Amino acid sequence: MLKNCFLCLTVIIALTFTACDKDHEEPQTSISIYMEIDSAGDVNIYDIPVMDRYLFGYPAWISDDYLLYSKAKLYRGSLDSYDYQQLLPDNIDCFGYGICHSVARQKIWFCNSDGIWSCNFAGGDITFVSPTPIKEMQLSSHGNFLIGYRIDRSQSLCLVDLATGIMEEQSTSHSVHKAFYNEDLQLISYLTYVRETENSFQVRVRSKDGSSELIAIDFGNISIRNFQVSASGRYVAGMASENGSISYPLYIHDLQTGETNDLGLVRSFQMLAQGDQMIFLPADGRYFKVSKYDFDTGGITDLHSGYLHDYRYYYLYKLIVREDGEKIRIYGWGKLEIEDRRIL
Amino acid sequence: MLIALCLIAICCCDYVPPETEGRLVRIDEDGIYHLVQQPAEFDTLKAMKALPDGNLLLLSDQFYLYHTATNTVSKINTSDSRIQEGGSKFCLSPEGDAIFYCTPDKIWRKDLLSLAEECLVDSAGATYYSPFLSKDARYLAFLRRTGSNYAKWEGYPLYLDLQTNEVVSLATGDEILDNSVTDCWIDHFHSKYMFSTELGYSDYFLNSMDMDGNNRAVTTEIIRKGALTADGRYLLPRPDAQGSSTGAFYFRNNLSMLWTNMDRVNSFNISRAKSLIYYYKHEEKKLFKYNLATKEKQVLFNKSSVQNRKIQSVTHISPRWDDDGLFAMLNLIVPTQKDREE
Repeated sequence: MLKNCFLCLTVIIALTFTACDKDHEEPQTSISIYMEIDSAGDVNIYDIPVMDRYLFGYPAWISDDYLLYSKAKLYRGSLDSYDYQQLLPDNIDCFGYGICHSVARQKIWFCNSDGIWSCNFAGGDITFVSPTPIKEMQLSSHGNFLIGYRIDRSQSLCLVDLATGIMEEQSTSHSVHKAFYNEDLQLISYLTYVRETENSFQVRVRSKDGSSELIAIDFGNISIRNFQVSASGRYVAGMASENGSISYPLYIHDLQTGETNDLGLVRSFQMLAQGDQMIFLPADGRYFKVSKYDFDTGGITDLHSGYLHDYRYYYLYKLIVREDGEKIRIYGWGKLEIEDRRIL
Repeated sequence: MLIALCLIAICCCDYVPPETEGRLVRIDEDGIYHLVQQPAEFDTLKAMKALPDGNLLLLSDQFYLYHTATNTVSKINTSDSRIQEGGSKFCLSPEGDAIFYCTPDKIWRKDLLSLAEECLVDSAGATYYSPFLSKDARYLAFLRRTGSNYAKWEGYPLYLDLQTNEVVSLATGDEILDNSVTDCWIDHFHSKYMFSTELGYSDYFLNSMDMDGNNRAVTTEIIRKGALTADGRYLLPRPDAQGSSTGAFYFRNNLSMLWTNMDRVNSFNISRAKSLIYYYKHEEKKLFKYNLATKEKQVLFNKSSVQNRKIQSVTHISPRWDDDGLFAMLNLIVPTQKDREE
């Protein structure tokens, strides 16, 4: 009994002293990393992650002093300022539907329960486009159509002709998550969740009139959160994770040839707005690096090793690419390489 | 035995959270401050507001009047002492002559001069809270609690038209929306009913609608709860009862629609005049009077310690009725034995 009490006393005192030892500083094993990589591979590191503290919604990085935010409202932000210019008046919001934009046309399309609207990049020229709101609205390859699905009927594909405001709706056998329209090939590609004997996420491709359809990618029963189209509208790609620590296979489908390729395990990807290229973060063991992929040639260019001094990227928080593709900003966590080796 | 051992071990740890003591301070417009050994009713202070006669209205366990000339308090009797804690707790009329507050299933108006009390809304079984009287004194906005979560005050918005005595419910019939409103107020400049919703983690919005409930739209997601400057030109976060704010401080110019990130603001309150606010920045240990329109900033108080005690925080900033200074609570760190020896 006495022996046990002595043992308890020793353990408790040791633990308490350990907890109270404020003078002893443990080396940081992980740090937040915020860096900007330009097309030449040059890297800038930011000590105070502006984007971490003030990022909200889903910003589109138009230029260095121009970020477009949406969540419930539209704002213009800047990388150099904490201020936001609100674009929509108080009686109009775009909550819950998502937006799309075109730099060439200097236009933003947004939705609310009243229907589809557009405005210019300064929030002016607010124009009513169509009375039926659609969700996950995407601009077609030449910017003449919007495509999405109805919020009250997710087993639908809605194509809105921006010249006339007329919407054509066609039904699907399963609920749509996101869709793209390629004007040259007259093909609609869409991500759908198939509830059958074996549930699965699929990318299906159908003709514009809905007369024919094929399964382009079958992901199995993995929830797909990241589905994007290349700048020309020819390639669609999808994977399970938008950002995060886990890597998933990235599948690419070429709408022109009908071929599907597996690019292996990646952490995240982002299509570039010009040229059929994407930035992606291929998995390398527990860590990742930053690479660029050219869809036409299949060539991969490494942009950054993922090393930052003694730290290596192991968790991605956000990846944004500037509209011209010349700059990439990545915010995530880095783990101390030496520390990791010691553990291993 | 084990407990005793734990206590011994914990005593070995030299960290002791600092003991603080709240002291009422009056700061004149020329920056001269007067520290007051306030009455015991301030110990449980939840909110205070300056009155036109120079005195203070306090809410602690009950309402009290603090008489500044004599440093004494007198209790304001209410017919029901169970004053609802949710939301804004109570509000003062624009003339400063009456308070509006809620008790279980009733809403009251208490005249501060005659002390007469009038029951404005009486509905058995309902829980009303967060009264807000529009600055034109026409409408009393309030919320009805609907949620089963007793830790949170959430419900749907209503208002009482004080001209017609009609109560208008702005419930939507949507179970989620009608159980998500956490704050309400009226923008009398634009006849808009403003309300805050929390639909989920990080899904919080300031919204507006017409007085008949039409044209509901999200105003912004940059601030959770809103308030206007006296002249209506700027939209700000709503100071809570203590006047404290956390995180980044943003305000909007309602004309240009530009949201500006201000200085680090630890606590603040809105003046009854123009575009003026008062705020305390702990990093600099300064209390400012700031005009949002002219960007004119005046330091009212810049002490890091008073009476040899360090200031830990400044709360309950209460601008005086005519803007000739303010009252606030200084939370002072009580020196430890070790400090005294040094």
